[in-house]
Amino acid sequence: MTQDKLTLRRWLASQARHGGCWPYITVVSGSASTLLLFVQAWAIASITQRMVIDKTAFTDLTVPLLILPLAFCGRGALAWVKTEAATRGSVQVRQAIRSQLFHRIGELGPLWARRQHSATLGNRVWDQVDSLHGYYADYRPQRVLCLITPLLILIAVFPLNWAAGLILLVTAPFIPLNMAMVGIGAKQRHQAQFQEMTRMSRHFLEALRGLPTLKLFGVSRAQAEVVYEVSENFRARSMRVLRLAFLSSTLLEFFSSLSIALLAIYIGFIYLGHFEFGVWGRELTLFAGMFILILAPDFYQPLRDLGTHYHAKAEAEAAAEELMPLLAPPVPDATRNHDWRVPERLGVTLASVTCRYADQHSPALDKVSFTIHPGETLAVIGPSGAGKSTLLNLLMGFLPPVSGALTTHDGIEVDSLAPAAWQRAIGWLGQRPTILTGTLADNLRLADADADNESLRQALREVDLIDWVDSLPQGLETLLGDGGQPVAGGQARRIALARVFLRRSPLLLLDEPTASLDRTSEAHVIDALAKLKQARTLVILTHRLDLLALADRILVLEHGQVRAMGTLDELRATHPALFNASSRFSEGKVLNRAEDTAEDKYV
Amino acid sequence: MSDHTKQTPSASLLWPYLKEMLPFSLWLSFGMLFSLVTLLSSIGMIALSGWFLSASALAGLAATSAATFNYFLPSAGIRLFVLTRTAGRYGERVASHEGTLRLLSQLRRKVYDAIEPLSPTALQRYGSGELLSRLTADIDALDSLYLRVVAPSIVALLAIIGCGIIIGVFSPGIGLFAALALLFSGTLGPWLAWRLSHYPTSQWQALNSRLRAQLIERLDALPELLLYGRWHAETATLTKAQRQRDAAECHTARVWGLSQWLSQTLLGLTLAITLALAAWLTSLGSLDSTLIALMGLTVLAGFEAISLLPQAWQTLGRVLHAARRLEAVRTHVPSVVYPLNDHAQPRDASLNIENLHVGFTDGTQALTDVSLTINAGEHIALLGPSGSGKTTLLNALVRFVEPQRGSLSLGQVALHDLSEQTLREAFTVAPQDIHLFVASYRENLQLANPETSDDEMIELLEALGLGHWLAEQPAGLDSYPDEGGSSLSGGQLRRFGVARALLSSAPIVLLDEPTEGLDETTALQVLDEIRQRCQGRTLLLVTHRPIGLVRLDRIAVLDAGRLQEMGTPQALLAKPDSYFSALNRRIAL
Repeated sequence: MTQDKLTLRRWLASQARHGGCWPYITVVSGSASTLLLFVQAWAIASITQRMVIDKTAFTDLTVPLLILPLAFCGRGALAWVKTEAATRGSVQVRQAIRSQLFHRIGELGPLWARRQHSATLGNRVWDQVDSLHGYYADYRPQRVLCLITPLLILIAVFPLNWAAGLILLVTAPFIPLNMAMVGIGAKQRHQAQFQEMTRMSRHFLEALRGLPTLKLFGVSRAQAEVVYEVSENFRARSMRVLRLAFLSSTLLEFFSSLSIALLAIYIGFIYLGHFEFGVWGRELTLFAGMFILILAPDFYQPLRDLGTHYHAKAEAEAAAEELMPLLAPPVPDATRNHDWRVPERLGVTLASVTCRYADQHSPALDKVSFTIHPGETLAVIGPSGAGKSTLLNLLMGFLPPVSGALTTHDGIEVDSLAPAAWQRAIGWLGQRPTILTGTLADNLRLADADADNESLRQALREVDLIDWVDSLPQGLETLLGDGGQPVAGGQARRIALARVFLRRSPLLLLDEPTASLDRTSEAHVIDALAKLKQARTLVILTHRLDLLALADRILVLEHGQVRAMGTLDELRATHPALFNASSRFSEGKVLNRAEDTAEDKYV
Repeated sequence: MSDHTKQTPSASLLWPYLKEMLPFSLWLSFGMLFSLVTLLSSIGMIALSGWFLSASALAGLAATSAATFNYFLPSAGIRLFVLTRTAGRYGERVASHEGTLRLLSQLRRKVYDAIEPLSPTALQRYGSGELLSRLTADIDALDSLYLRVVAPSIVALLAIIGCGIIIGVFSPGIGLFAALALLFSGTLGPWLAWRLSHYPTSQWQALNSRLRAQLIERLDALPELLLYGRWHAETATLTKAQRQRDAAECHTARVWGLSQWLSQTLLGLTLAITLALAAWLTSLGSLDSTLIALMGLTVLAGFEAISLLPQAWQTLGRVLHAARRLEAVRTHVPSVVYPLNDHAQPRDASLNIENLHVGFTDGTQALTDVSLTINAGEHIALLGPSGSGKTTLLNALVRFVEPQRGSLSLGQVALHDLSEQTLREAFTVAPQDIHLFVASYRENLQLANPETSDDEMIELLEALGLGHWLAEQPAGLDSYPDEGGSSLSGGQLRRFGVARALLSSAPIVLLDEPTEGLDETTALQVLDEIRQRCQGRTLLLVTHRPIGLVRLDRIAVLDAGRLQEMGTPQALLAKPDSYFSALNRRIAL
C-alpha cells in the first residue's frame, strides 16, 4: 500500500516552489542570525578579556556593552522575520496545492468524487493540506540551517584554534550521521507517540460514535472502564518504545554537553600550559577561548531543533501519500474542446452506446440505441441497476461512452464538445437537491448568476413557492442552510426546480423528482413539471405511475439494455406484466380493485 | 503562574483539568524535577566553564600560579554536569510522558463519563459527527496544558530563582537584578503572546471550521455546481475566504515573532546590564574579575528556560478553547435521567404512546400529538416519507430523546419509571445508522447477546441473505470490518444490524428501515425472516417503502410529524385516496 518514500519526498520537494521567496528569506535570516551570534560572542569575550587580562578601565567597555544589546535586538528581529517568512511560505504552498486540488476535482467530476465520499475528500482537501504546514514552515528550512549554522561556526572557530574545531567535528560525527541518528530516534518516537496516539484517539472516537449502539444494548456504562483500560494498555506499549527512543535523543544531548565540557577543559589546560597543540603556533587569548565557548552550544542547536520538527515531516509524508494520487498529471483530451451555441430545442440520439464504470467489469449500458425527439417528455423506468443513473450521467457528460455515439438531433457529435459547453444545454434535478449555506437568492442564482430579482420571483411562482417566500420576513434574502431557515425536503426539491426554470436549458434531466415527498409537495412538483414540459425536452427517471402519465413515451431499461420503448398505452398492451405489479406484494381482491381505481385515474 | 490564569474569567474552566493532575503529581513533579536538573546543569556547566576559562587564563599569566592552580575541582564539576544534564534530560522525558499518558487515560474516562448520560439524539443534532472528532482532539489539547504550559512555566520560574542564587552567591545585588530581569522578560513575552494571539487564534478557529463545512457542502453539490458551470466560481470564493483565514494565521505568526524579538531585546539588555554591573564592581575592586564571565553566561543560559514560554502560552488559547467546547456540550445537550430502580414492573410487551409531542431546540417540531397503542405480540409498520418523524418516534421509545409533552409507557408502566437496565432489556433495536465497532464480526453480533453460538449467528445471517457475503470473508466471523463498516454495502450493513437486533431475545423489536437499499425480492425475504423471528414478540418496523407490509397486523402512517392513517393494510388499501394505496400504485420495476 505505501508508496515509495522517495517519490513522496520528491513530490513534497517539488511543491515547495510555490512558497516563492519566503523559504529563502527564512533560511537567510536564520543564517544571518548566526552571524549576529558571532557579534554577541565577540562582545562578551571582549569584555572578559579586557577586564580579566588587560585590566582596562570600566569606560573602555562602552563599545561592547552598547553593541551587545543591539546584537540581541537584531537577532530578535531576525527571529521575527524568520517566523513570519516561514509561515507565509507555508501558507502560499498550501494555497497553491489546494487550488490544484479544486481544479483537479472539477476535472475528475462527480462520479469520481462520489466514490471518495465527500467528507473524506473534504478532509483531504482541507485538513491533510493543512497538515503540510510544519513541513514547509519548519522542517525544510531547518534542514538547510542544520548545514549552514554548524558550517559557519566551524569557519569561525578553525582559524582561532584547530583543535577546538576538531572537537566540534568529532563529537558530532558530523551532519549526515548525526542527522540520521536524530532521525532514527525521532522516527521511533513519532511512531510511538503520534501513531499510537492517533490509534488511541481513534479508539476513543469509536467509543463515542458507537455510544448510541452501546446504549441500545445496555453496555454503555461498562464501556467507561474499557476506554480507560485500552488507554492504559496503549500507554504501557507507547512507553516501552519511548524509553528506547528517548535514548537516541539523549545521545545527542550527551555529545553536545560532552563537547562543551571538552572544549572548556582543553582551553583551560592550554591557558595553564598543560597543552600546547591546536593553536596554530600562536598564543590563545582569553578572548578567543571565551568566543569559542560561547559559540559551542549553538553548534548543536539546529540539530536539536530539527529533531523537534521531525513529526512535521512524518505528518507531511502521510498527507502526501493521500494527496499525490489526486494530483497525478491529468490526461488532456484534445478532441473535446469545441464550443457551440446552445439551441432553443434539443433532441438526442444514442447509437449503440456502451458505458462502463472504471471499477466494474460488466458494462452499465450495453449497446443502447434510441432517440429523444426535441420537445419530447421521456420517462425512463427499470429496476435498480438497470442503467438509469448511468444514462443520466452519460447525458450530463460526466461519463464518456466507451463505444457508440451520442449526437444531437441536428447531427452534432456530443463527444466533440467541451464538457462545460455541452453542460450549458442541460438542466438537472437530482434526488437530493443542494441547498448551499447562503441566501435564497444565492441558491437560485447558482443556475443563472445574472438573474434579476424579478426573474427569481417568476421562477418561484412557477414552482408554487412564491407564497412561502413572501411569508418569510426577509424574502429572497432569507438565509438558508446551516443556521438559517430550515428547508423541508419538498421545498428543497422545488427550489431546485426553480433553478431549472431559471436555467432555460433545452434538455432537462429529472431523477425521481417526487421520491419521498409528502403528498402536497408531490402535487406541487407534478404541476410544475407539467409547465416545464411545454417548452423543453424532459427525461424523467421514476418509479411512480402518477409521473408516467406526464410522459410522451416510456423507455424500459433492463440489465443495461433497452427492453421496450413506447407510449404508456402501447406498453400496457405489449408488456402487461410491468403494470400489474402490485399483486406481487399485495394480496386479495381488494387490492386489485385499488389498482383498477389507480389506473382509471390516469388512463 | 496562577496570576496568568486569572487574566480572563474563562480561565477558571481549566480548574477541573488542573485538579485532574493531582493523582499524577508524583510523576509530574518527577518530570519537573528532572527538567530542572537538566536546566540547572546546562546553566552550571556553561557558567562554570566561563569561570574556569577566565580563572585559568589569569593563572596562566604567571608560571607559578599556573602550576598551583587547582584545575581538578572545576573540571570534575564540568564533567559531572555533563552527566547530570544527560541523565536529567532522559529522566525528564520518561517521567513527563509517563505522567501525561496516565493523565490522558484519566481524561478520556472522564470525558466519556460526561458524554454517556447525554441524550444521543440531542447530541447528534447539536453538532453531528464532527463534534465527536473535535472532542477527541480536545483531549489531546488538554493534555498539552501540562506538558506545554504548566510544567515549563513552573520549571522556568525555578530556573530563574536558580540563576539568581548562582549569581547572588558572589554578588547578591546583581543576583537579584538578574533574577528579576529574567522574570520580567519571561513573563512579558508569554503574556503578550497570549493576549495578542487570543483574537486571531479564535478567529482562525471560527473561519477554519466554517470554511471546512462550506467545502464539504460544495463537494456534496459537485454535480449541480459542475453542470451549472459554478464549480470554479465557488472554489474561487473558498480560496478567497481561505486567504482571510491564512491572514489570521500570519497574524499569529507575527505575534509570536514580536514576542521573540521582545524577549531577545530584553535578554540583551539584561545581559549587558549584568556584565556592566559586574565589570563596574570589579573595577571598584569588590568583585573578582573571573566571575564576570560566570555571571554573563548564567544569564545567557538561564534564558533557555524562558525562551519557549511564549509559544507555550499561545497554546493556552487552544487549551481554553477545548475546555470551553467540552463545557458547552455539557451545558447545551440535555441528559436523560433514569431512576436507579424500577418503580413498577411492566405487565407485558405492549407499548402505549399518548399525545406525544417532540421538538428540538432549533425550533423544529418532529412529532405533534401522536397517539398509538401497540398490543403485546402485535406487528406494526410505521410508514411515512423521510423526515416525517418516524425515527424520532423510535428514539423517544428508547429514551434517546425526551418528549415535550405526552406519555410513553411499556406494559402500562411509564418509561421514566423504569431503570435504564430494565428499559434496555425490554427493547432490541436496529437503528438507521448501524455502527460496527472495530472488532470481529462475531464480537459485533455478540453485543446483543453474549451467549449466541456461531451456528445461530451463521444461520441467521444466511436467512437474511448474507450467507454469500459471509463466505467471502477471509476469516468468517473472525474477520474485521474496515473502519466504519465500509466492507459491507449499505444494504448488507442494514441486514447485519437487523441480525444483531434479532439475536437478542428482548420482547420488543424496533427496526428502522431494515430493507433500505434492497431489491424487492431480497426485501420480501428479509421481511419474512423478521416476521418469523418475531413471532410472539412485539414488532415496530419503520419504513418508507410499502413492500411486503400487507402481511403485518397494522400500518400507521406518519406525515409531517402527525399520525395520518392507521389500520390494517387491507382497510387502508380499500381507501383509494389513502397514502398507503398511493404508495402501492407503483410499477413493478
